[in-house]
Amino acid sequence: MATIHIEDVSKNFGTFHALKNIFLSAEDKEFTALLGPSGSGKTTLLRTVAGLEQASSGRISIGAMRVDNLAPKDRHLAMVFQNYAVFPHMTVADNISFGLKTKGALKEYIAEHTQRTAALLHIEDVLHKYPNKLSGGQRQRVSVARALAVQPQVLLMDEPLSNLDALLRLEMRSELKALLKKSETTTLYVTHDQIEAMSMADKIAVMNNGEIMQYGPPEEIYFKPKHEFVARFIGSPPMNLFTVQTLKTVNKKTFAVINNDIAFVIEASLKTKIQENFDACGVLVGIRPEQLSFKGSASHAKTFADASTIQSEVLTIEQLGSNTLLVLKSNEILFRVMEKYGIKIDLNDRVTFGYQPNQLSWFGKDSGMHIEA
Amino acid sequence: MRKKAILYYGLGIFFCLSVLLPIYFLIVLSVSGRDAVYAWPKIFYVANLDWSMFRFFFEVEGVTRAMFNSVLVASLTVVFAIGLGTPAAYALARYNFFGKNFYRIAILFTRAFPVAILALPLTVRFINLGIYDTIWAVVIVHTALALPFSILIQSNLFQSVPKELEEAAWLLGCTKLQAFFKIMLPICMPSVAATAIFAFIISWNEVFAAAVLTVKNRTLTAFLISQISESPLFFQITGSFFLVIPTLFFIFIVRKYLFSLWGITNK
Ligand SMILES: Nc1ncnc2c1ncn2[C@@H]1O[C@H](COP(=O)(O)OP(=O)(O)O)[C@@H](O)[C@H]1O
Ligand SMILES: [Mg+2]
Repeated sequence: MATIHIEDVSKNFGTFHALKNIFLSAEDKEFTALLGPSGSGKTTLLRTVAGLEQASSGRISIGAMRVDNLAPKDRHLAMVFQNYAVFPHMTVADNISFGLKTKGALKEYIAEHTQRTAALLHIEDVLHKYPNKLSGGQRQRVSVARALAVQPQVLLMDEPLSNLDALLRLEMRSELKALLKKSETTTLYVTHDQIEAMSMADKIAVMNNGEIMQYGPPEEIYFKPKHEFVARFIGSPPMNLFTVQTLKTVNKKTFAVINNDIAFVIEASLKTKIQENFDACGVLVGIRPEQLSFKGSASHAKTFADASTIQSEVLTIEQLGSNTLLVLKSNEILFRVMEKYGIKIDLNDRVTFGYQPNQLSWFGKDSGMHIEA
Repeated sequence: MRKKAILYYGLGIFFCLSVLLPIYFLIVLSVSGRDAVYAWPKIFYVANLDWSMFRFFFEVEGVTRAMFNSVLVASLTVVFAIGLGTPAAYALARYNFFGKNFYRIAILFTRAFPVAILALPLTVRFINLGIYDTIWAVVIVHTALALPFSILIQSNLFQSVPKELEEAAWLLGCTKLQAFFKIMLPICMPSVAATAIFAFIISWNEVFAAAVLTVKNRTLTAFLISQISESPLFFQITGSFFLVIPTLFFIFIVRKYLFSLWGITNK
C-alpha cells in the first residue's frame, strides 16, 4: 500500500518561494499528473518527494511512513528524470540492473528480471549496447526500465516524454499508460502537456507559481475549473473569458452584459453570488470554444429576448482537419469557437452562437476564484 | 584561400619541426653510442644501435638512486594530489558552503608565490621538522604545486557531469559515497587519470625545490642539475633523454585518455 500524502509542504530557495503550502493525497496505484507551466514548481515538488530537495516545512508520507527526513535511498521510490540520466559508462543491461544490484538481489533473479523488464520496454535487443549508441527514444526506455526494475511502490516521472518527437511521444504515451497500470505503482507524473495529463492521469494537480490551483479528476479540471488560471491554462484552445460590464434584468432574467452583441444569461441559483462579486470586484464569465454552437447567420439585431445566443463577426477561419476553429470579433472583443468540419460560414459573416447557461463558468475578477452557487 | 592554407601549413610544419627535431636528435644520439655524439657532421638516423651510453649512465654513482627517488616522489605526489584533490574538487563542484568562493581563490594563491621565495623559509621549517633532505620534504612541496591543478581541473570536471546521474544512483539505493565511486568516478576516470599523470609530470620535472630541499636524497632532476654542467656531452644527452622522454610518454598517454572520453571516440 503506497499512498502519498503531502501536507502543507513549502520550499524556499533563499527568499524565493518555490512551493507554497502544497497539499496532495495520492491513493495506492493512483496516477497523479502535476500539470503547470514551466517554472511553476512541478520539478521541485517531485524532487522534494524524492528527497533530492529538503522541504522547508510540512510533512511527506509514503504509505504509513513519514519520509521527509529520510535519505533518498531509504524512501523506496524510483524516479525517471527529464534528461533520462542514463549512466553513460554502463551497458543497457547494467543500467537496468543497477538498482537490483545495489539492493543485493540474487544473481539469477537479477539476470532474469533485467531480461523481463527489458522485454517489457522492447529494448531486449540493445541490452549490451552503451547508451551513446542508442536513440533518444531508446534511452528514454532504458531510464523507465531502470526505474521499473526495482518494482517501486512509488514512481516519480519528470516530463519523461518531453524530449521525444511528436510521433514517438504519442506511441510512448499509450505504452507507458498500459505499463504503469500493469506495474501497479503509485505514480506522480510531471508534465506541462495538458493532453498528456488529461489522457493518462486519474487525478491532475494544476500548479502555478508554486501553488496547486486545482486538484481533481481530469473531467473536473476541464469542465469545472476552480480558478481563472485553470480555465485559461487547460484546453486548446483555452476557455473564452469575458469581462462582465453590467448586469441587467429583462423579463425576470438577469444577463451579464459584455457588449451590445454579447450577453450571457445567469442561472437563477447564481444570481445573488454573481451580483455580490460584481459589486465587490467585477466578474469574468467563461465558456469553452466547443461549447458554443453555430446557429446560422444573424438575421436581426440581438435582443435580450433571445436568451442563450450571442452574435459576432467572423475574423478568421482555420481548418484543423475534423474541426474548424473560428476566431470571432465583436467590437474589440475576440473569442474562439470550435465547430465540426463543414459548417457553411464565410469571413466577415455576422453569425449567431448558442450556448447552455449551465456550462458557463463564473470567476471573481480580482480573486480569480470560481463563483459557486 | 590557397595562399592562406599554405601559410597555415607552413607555420604548422615549422613549429612542429622546431619541437620535434631536437627530440628526434636526442633519441637518435642517445642510442648511437659515444662516437656518434662527437662525430661531425651529425647523423640523422640510427646507423647501428648502441646502448653503451645508457649502460654508462646507470653505472654513474647516484643515478639509479636518484631515478628511484624521482619515481617515488612523483608517485607519492600523485597519491596526495588525487587523494586530497578529488574530495576537495567534489566539494567545490557539488556543495555550497560558507567561503566557497574565497576557498577557490585561496587555492590559486598557493601558486602565487614562486618556489624561489619560499625555498629558504621552507628549508628552515623542514630542518626543524627533521625532514630536510628526505623525499618527504620534496613530496610536500610537489603536492602543494600539483594540488591546485588537481582541484580546479577535477572540480570543473565533476561540475560537467549532470547532477541527475548521481541522484538517480541515490534513488536506486546508493549512499552518496557509493554513488561517487560507482557513477562519478568511472565517468570521470579518463580525466582523473589525466590529472594524475599531470601531477606526475609536475613532480618529475620540478627541479628547484628538489635541489634546494635535498642534499643526498636527490631526485633525478636535482641530481642532474648539479652534475650536468661538469659532465661530458654524451652524459648530458642521456640525462636529457631521461628528463624529457618519460614526460613525453606520459603526455602521450594523457592524450589517449582524453580522446577516449565517452563519446569522443565515436567522432
Ligand atoms: N536549486 C534551486 N535554487 C534556486 N531556485 C530554484 C532551484 N530549483 C528551482 N528553482 C526555481 O524554482 C522555480 C520552480 O522550478 P521548477 O520546479 O523546476 O519548475 P517546473 O519544473 O515546474 O518548470 C523556478 O523559478 C526555478 O528557477
Ligand atoms: Mg521541470
